[in-house]
Amino acid sequence: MSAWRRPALAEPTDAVGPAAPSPAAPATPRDLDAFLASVERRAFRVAELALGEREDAFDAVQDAMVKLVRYRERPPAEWPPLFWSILRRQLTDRHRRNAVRRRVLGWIGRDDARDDDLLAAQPDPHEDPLRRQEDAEAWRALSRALQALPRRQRECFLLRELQGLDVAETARAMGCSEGSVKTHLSRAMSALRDKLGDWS
Amino acid sequence: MNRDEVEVAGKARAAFEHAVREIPVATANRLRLARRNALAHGAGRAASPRAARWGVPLAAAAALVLGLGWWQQSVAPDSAPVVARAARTPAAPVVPVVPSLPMLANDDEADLYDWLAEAPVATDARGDGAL
Repeated sequence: MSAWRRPALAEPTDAVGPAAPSPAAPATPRDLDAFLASVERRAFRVAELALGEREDAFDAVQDAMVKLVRYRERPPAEWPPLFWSILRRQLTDRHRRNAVRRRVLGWIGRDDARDDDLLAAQPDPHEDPLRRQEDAEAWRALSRALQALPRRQRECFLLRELQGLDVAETARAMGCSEGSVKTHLSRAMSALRDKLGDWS
Repeated sequence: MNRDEVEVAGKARAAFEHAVREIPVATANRLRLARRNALAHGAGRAASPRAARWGVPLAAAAALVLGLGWWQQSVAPDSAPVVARAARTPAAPVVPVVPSLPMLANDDEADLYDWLAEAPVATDARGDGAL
């Protein structure tokens, strides 16, 4: 299986800008603020990939944070699987709600597509435009390919491969057996290989 | 996982990590604000989620049971069938009717009635409720 390991958790900081990857071994912060700071960006990107809408992704992460705070008395070691489990439920609920909304809007002939984060669309003057374009293309291709996957396969890929949870943690977060995780992941990888064939 | 899948997974991770690092400034600020709001919102809600989840249904069930009990107590005596009410009423004691002495004609009659009241036949009849 993959040699991927859980990414090092970023240092809790209020500074904006790219989070510096830490070479230290990952450890769950003992402070809830630090823990949320370490996962909020990854959670946002996971939600964005799962939902395909930036605002929805932001709301899902915000709600997941509020819900996790209710479990602040739990041991810190339980926070990561708990947080990803809560976020997964948020994404599932919103995905279903959005599907119904799109269907209804489709019936009345309205397009629900939106992309209202204008700052995100602004080019960074310090970055190579060609590189930026390639990165944006790769991100969009990955997003499209993941959107086309069945929900459980998508969740499994996001948690296991991108977030780096191990099989047992992924199973806990998804509420299924470890065998199911392996099956979903295998199918997801096979489908992604077909959809992103030009990547390999 | 075959070689192609490993390569696709690696590129997906690279794209993901890049997107995490290069998150827009405005989004990073909003996430930071959301985190602070969540922590502030949760600070006053230390009650366990299990208690919160079961508290309301349990209180509603208790109120329902109490309400049903009160309703049964207030309605049952009037609406119960007459036969059932009669069955619940304890048997009234049998009181022998003894003629009052001033109505008797003389002392002989008074002795007669005293004797009758103590006689075994009268005692048996009172036991059967015939009087």
